Amino acid sequence: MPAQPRVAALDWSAVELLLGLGIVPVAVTQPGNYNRTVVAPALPEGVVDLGLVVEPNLEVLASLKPDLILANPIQVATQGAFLARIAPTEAVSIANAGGDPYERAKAETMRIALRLGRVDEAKALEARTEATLAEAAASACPAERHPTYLVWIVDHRNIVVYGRTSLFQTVLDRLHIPNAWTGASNASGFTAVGIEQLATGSADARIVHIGPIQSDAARALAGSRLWQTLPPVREHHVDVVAPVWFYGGLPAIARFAELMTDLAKRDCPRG
Amino acid sequence: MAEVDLAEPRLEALAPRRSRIGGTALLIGAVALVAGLLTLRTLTADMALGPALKALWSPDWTDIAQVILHESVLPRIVTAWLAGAALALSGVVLQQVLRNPLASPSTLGISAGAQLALALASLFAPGLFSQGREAVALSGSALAVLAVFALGRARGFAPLALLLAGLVVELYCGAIQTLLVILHQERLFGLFVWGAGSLAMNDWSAPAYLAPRLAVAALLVALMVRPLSVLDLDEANAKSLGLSLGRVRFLAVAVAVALGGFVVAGVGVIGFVGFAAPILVRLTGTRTLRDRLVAAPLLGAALIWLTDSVVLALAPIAQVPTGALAALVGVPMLLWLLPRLRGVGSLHHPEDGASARIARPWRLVLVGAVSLAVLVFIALTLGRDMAGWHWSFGAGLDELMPWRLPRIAASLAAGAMLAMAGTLLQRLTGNPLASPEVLGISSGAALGLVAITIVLGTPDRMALLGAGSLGALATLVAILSLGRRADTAPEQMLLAGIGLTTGFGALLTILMISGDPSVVMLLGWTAGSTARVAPEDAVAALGILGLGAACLPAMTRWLDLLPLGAPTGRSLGLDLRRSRLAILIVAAILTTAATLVAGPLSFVGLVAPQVARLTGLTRAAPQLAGAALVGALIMVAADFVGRMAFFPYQLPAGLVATLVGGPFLMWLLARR
Repeated sequence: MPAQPRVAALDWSAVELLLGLGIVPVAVTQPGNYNRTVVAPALPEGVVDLGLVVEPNLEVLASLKPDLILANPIQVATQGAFLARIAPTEAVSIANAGGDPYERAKAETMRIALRLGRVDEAKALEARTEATLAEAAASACPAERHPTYLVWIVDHRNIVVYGRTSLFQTVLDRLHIPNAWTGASNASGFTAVGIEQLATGSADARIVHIGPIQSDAARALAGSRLWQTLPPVREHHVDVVAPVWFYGGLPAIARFAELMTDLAKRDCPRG
Repeated sequence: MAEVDLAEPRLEALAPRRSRIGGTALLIGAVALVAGLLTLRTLTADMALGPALKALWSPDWTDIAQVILHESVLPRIVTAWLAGAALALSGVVLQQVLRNPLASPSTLGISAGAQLALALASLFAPGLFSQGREAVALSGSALAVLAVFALGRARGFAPLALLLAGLVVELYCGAIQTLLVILHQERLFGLFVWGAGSLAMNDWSAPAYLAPRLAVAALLVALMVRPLSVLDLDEANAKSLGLSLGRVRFLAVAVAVALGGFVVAGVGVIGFVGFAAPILVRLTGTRTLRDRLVAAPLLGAALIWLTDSVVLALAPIAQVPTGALAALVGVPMLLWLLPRLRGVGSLHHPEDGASARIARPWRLVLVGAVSLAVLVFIALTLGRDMAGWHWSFGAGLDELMPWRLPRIAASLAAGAMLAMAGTLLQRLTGNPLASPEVLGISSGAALGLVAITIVLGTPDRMALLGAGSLGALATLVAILSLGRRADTAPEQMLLAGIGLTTGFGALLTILMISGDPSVVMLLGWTAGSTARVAPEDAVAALGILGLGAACLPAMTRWLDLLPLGAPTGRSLGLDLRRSRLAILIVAAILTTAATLVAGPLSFVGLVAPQVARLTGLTRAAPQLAGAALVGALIMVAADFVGRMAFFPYQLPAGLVATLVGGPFLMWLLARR
């Protein structure tokens, strides 16, 4: 691989992985939506837009003559023959591959780094992530290790809850914070339930809302007696943190760890 | 009133002249009993029955378990009752006014219109919601129903024509929603959860919203009972009684549409109960309008209560939205009802005069062929890159060929095959609304693809192809066996197809909510993306197109005779069953092959045969050739436009064809 490999990423998890290795991809799908949804690591200006994730523009991709293409497994399964004509293609999958998402993220990052001759960067990224997790673990005060629901409010009646197989669980484990959601979750590690389901956990549970709460849902919830009676809400233990890409890898884990560290430092100032 | 003979469409089992309410009461009681027992189980999950019942009415506001009973469990049950009753009432009114045993909020596009309006508003104008979702939902319902009526008017509001028009509108709303989803994949989950009819509650806002509206609607309907009952008479008799039928009809339909819109605005899309409850009430012996207006809402309430109780019982295993489950359960019910339905209206209609036969049809076909050649040439050579538009020839074109040729060839083949299948079905049934999309073959293929994706996670192309074909074949067999049972087959088969299409939509919603990312990726295919068609798939599609075309000359005599109606055909010595079977098999194979490369969407199978007929190609052979050319033209153009319009963004060809073809189709169908 050349010193500055030209890599195209057809899926946001691959974009995030590349940026984590310090490689700016030459082309990605839907960069505008990426920057709004994944947020960090941010995609710089000037990266070529390949269009929709469901139908990347192959003519544009071919004209860029990339050295390597990173795609998600479905893209490889359905368009692999086309992609192979353009450049060697690697499938990147972290969120839905089963097993421990943290180990999976490390393995996938190292595999791609080897492919691109970026092993040092991958080791550095791993070390940074590990250090961030360690800092998060150190910042948490033992007295504040309440069971925590990680949620995203869909509308004023429905929420997404992230379960024990989710990417975020790695961070909770390091902080020794139990996941308050003990119910089932799907292959990707989350499930959609009614808001009343948040009452099933222990009385000292907390809620961390990942990403901003939509304003009309917030308005409706303010008037809901059930919401107001939920122990975390009654005790004002609801925190809203910045969005984190749920299907991400090491950068997403580090980002979520930092957000949780900030919360811990606020609640436990003496550290 | 009970002595008046039901004039038009009726259910076979309606022989008794008076209401026999016993059967209906038994059914309602049984459904409510099961639902009640399941509810009791939910109530006593965390506490004894006594405290639980007390908590339902006056909870201890510091005890979250009691608050949940009062603020979540109870409003959920009440909402299920209200929504079920509202939909069933809407269904009874629609069925009565339109004299159509198949009318309902879900089959006339009322729910789909409201849902699309809400989805559009949530993405592009969330500010509208501060005025309430109601206005948004109601405008969506009203627009959808206007479209359905405009389409159905040309066929005199015949029950089946109206139902098919409803399906067209529903498919179109679905296509726009698919576009929203692929443009905003990151918000896909919210869009799906939200439209799926979850009855999760955390306050009394939904019952408080629905109850007064249902009450006013019920009052209005009660005031209209007498004039509505007279609608059982045929038009002339009613006029002789001096009633202004027009005004009553309009008001009654407005009330029914509003009820459908209210439910979507309040809780989401809840499928099929508005259709099923009124029919079940009639089948169990409740006959007079007055009795049905009471019994159907009670049954609707009980049915949704039961569905939701099942959803709650399933909750530890899987999260299934109530509305989608209701739709899914409704499909087998529709299929079960089919053989019992009589008088849904024949689809045979004389050809309209506008399409005068032209003298030299084949010359016109030649014009079509030349146009297609020109279009294919443009689609192959003209393109855009980062610098702008340009034509490519020679070596430059060689470089682009691997990307352009397979998808153009596949689009051409898919368009032609769908158009030919559509022509076959339209001639078979004599109804211009018949099409492969409506036959349900596309949905069968889609189900196969979804199933294999769930089983294998990331299936390769061969697995997808095999599973899709299997699904299509299974559908074909099911529809053919249905066709063997009922003597006048085409209408029943089309209804079965509608059921399958609806069921597939519900299943897809449930799967999307399950969050399985591989299912999410299927979106590209359900949107009709031709980008994944490998060269060998394109060759196969062209091959099947060639084979199909080779079969057709043997069928043209049947095709010329069938639209004249069964009696004429029989008198001319046509073996109706065999000819129908052969035509159906060819149509199904063509549809399957097209669906596998271009997805289940697109109205090509509906539009192309119509265009051919309008240009004067009325005999079977030239119509088939002309339709195939028009279909190919539409799909190749859609693929080209999809690639060029928003470069570098590519919109799937099937979606472009649907979005552009839909309004044209509606105009076409609304013509008298």
